[in-house]
Amino acid sequence: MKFLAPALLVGLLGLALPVVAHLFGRQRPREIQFAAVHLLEACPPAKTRKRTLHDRWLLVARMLALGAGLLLFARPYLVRTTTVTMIGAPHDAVLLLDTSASTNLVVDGRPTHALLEAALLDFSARVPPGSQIGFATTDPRGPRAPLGVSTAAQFLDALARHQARAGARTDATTMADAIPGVAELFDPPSVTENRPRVIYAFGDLTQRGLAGLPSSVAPEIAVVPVPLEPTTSEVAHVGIERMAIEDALDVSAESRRVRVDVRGYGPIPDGDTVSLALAIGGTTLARAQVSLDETGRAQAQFLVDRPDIGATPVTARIVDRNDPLPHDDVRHGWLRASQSINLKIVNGAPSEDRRFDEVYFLSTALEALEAIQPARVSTISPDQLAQLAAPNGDGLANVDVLILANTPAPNAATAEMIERFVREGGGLWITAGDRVNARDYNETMRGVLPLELRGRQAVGSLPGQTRRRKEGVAPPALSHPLFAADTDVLPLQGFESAATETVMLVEPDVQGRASVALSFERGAPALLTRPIHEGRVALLTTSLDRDWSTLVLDASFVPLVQRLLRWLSLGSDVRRFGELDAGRPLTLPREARGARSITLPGNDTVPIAAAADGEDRPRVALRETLALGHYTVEDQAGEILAGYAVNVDPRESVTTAPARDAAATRAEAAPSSDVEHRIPLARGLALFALILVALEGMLRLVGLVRRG
Amino acid sequence: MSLSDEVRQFLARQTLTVRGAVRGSAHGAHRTNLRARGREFIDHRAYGPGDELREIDWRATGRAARVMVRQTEAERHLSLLFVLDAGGSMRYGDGDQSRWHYTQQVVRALAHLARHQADAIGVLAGLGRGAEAVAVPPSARWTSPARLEPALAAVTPAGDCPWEALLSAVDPHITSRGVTLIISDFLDPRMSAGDGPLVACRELFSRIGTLAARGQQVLALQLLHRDEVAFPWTGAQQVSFRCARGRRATVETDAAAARTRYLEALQAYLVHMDAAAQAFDVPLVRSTTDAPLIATLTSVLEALAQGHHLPPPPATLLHREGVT
Repeated sequence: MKFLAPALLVGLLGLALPVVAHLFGRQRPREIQFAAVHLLEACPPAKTRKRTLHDRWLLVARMLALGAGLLLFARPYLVRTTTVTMIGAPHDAVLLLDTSASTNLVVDGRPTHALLEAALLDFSARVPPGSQIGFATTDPRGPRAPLGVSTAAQFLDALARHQARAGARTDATTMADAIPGVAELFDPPSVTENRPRVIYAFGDLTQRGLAGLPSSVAPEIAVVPVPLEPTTSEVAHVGIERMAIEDALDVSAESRRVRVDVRGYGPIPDGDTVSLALAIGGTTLARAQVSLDETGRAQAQFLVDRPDIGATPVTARIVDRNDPLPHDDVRHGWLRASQSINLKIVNGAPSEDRRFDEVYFLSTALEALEAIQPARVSTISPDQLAQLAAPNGDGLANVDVLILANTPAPNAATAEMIERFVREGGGLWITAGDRVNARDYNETMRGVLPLELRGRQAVGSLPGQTRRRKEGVAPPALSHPLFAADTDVLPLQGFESAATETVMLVEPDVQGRASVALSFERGAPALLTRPIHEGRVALLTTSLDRDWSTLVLDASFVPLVQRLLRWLSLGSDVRRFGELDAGRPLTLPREARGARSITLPGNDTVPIAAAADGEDRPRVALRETLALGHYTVEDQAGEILAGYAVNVDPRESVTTAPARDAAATRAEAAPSSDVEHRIPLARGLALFALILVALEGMLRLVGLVRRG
Repeated sequence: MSLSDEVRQFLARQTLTVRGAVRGSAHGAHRTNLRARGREFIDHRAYGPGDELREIDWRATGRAARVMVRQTEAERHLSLLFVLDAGGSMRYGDGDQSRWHYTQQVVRALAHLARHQADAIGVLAGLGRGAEAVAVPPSARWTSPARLEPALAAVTPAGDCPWEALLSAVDPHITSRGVTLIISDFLDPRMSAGDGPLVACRELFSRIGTLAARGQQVLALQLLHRDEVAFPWTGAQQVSFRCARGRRATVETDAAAARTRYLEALQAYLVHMDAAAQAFDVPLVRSTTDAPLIATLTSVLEALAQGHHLPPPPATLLHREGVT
């Protein structure tokens, strides 16, 4: 046990006070020199000795209470030493602190973030003299201190103020994602160019923590993990991994099914039961209990049958459990009228024989996806599309995704309607074909095309080619959002059997506007995407039928369609009722143009100004959404125009370390140094002192009763 | 410290008389049946019928031109020997009621009376370290306050009175018939017979009785303090009684609870002491230090005149204090 203020231990001399008071406070008998003492020898002796024995316990209680109080002033703490890596010579260092939602995990009675902050404080005191230290957090909104600007204590104070304002640690930025921003703190370069530059990362050994860190970042900045002790892998907790709300068409057209996926992390015993409660509109309507399987997962399903259902907030919550990580024990969502995607397909090359129809394979894929991705499909001709754009047309209201399948370039009015539709959050998928004229498209659809079209080109006639040949599809660009891992999408293996004869070439992307999700073997883009305002556009540079390519026959076509429709419809899904990761800005959709206020979790209301007439750009109503829960956008009459459910990224629930990660290996190989973690004892000591004071009072009361 | 006028007036009307004959000349105030030469020269006088030839002082006859004889002290004076307990218990009490102060007043008063009767006095004090001869052998010179006061002031009571040694010191001075006045509290004497107070008390009076058997008239004056008789600590207080003689262990007791037992033990002890005094024919006078000195002196003088005396029963003393 050590003390932060050992000089105050001098106060322990005060322990002599109760002894002195006890001795002087004892009733001393009157002393008389007497001649006939022998006549008193038969008299009963005094009772002072018996009472003194009783008071001895009182004295002990008082001394212990006083001692505990005095020790409390000296601020005792226990020291736990951890071996960490550290460069022994003076260098420039940035101490990166993990402040993501996973640091709410309670380990040994203390939150992980408190342990990390204590480790950072001790570590900063051990950096070799002459070094310059900067500080940063993984939260991009958190405080940052360039090299040599502030001390660790000042930084932690700033962090505490930030957390007090934010209210909760809900950020989901990984340490790897935070590294590039942290590296900027080294600019301008060090005074001594040859000094080593190191980022010390304080976090847990999870994939999103230290295990996912690169070993260095350019230019020549080493990244050294400082693992947390004790490890979080030994802590068992459960969380809601996902809550999906979908149509229950097998029950009725108006029924909804709420699936709640529960997962256990760490050493969760098999068969562990988890109680769940489902609240709709703020009222708990159902409870369920599930048992975790051998993989630590379980699913609960709730069926909601309400014909007149509107947009209603839904919350699933783990109850009756003292979980070490409570932030992922709740999941918010919105119960909407329909979960289906409204899909409008413009068939530019219909055929009486369905097998040769332009959208035959697309329709087949949609039928296969009906169970997991319901869609309300309507197929129209290019003329019907033009009628929608007419002054008395219906427009593209209630359409989530518009597919132009081998469609001639629309006229100007139709193109304007489509562009407006995209900018307001609609999804547009353009597929190439014989009827797609590059020049016409460039002329009328320039505003929504990912890249301008150059023209149709047979693969065998490409420059340098001497004979007709087919070209395969390269492996997908896994960094594209389309191919991000998700739990409710079909696995995508690759397009090994796809062979393409003709492609629609596009102009070079000099501005970097588009993202290439798929490309052909020789590098020509096959699938391009581009977000435009709130909407999203995808361009398939080959046909949806077999005329140009056998892509549609590949086993990966159906998963590709599912992922593409989900991605394209995300804009419309967010448009009115959707989910947001905690901390992201809240942008008002087109339908919420008349919004006047936003009700936050906790029923606080934020007023917003009405949109000006003709205003077309999206409006940011909240710069950041820090509190978890439901955000309701209402108009002046109190009608709900839109709603958002803000949740913590479920990946923050993973608190276990990979089997053997590179970070741990690197940490073991690097030169090490001991870092002391201070564990304050003030709370326990104060409790002990209070118990002693109570004991002292009880002993005194007993003594008074005994003496009458 | 001198005697008060009241006491002096009282003493002026008193005569120190004893029951038996004393050795002395016809010039003294006391009867004598012993014809022996005195050892201490007083004066010359003219030879008369009946004087022995060996008493003629020829040198004085030559100077006076007539026959002169020597006149000696023993032939006419009473020897009054004060045997004082000078143990630590004699210091008990404050001011005029201090037991040692009261003892000194008794000695002064009787010395004053002896001086007026041309009697001789001697003083022996028993201190902790042994018997101290303050003014022994008895002499008329000690009756002078100028000689007596420094001798008394030299004694500071302390320790335990060595009764064996003190009474042995009396022996050489009882060749002539005289009076021995023993002043003490007699509450817890230490004798060779043992530490039991009753046994020691009985042995003490036995030893005193041997003095009487050798022709000495003896009187014991017991001086008690009012606290010892009344035990005034009646409140619910803890009192630690330390032995004034330093011989016994300290007794710590609740004074109020101990009072009754103490008074019962005191009464039993005094009864036992009275019986011992009577058994060994030792006159005993009992007084308290708050009693008027005249009253105490009256009792002493009466006891000396009668030759035997016993105090009233202890119950009377205690009853007067309202404690029995």
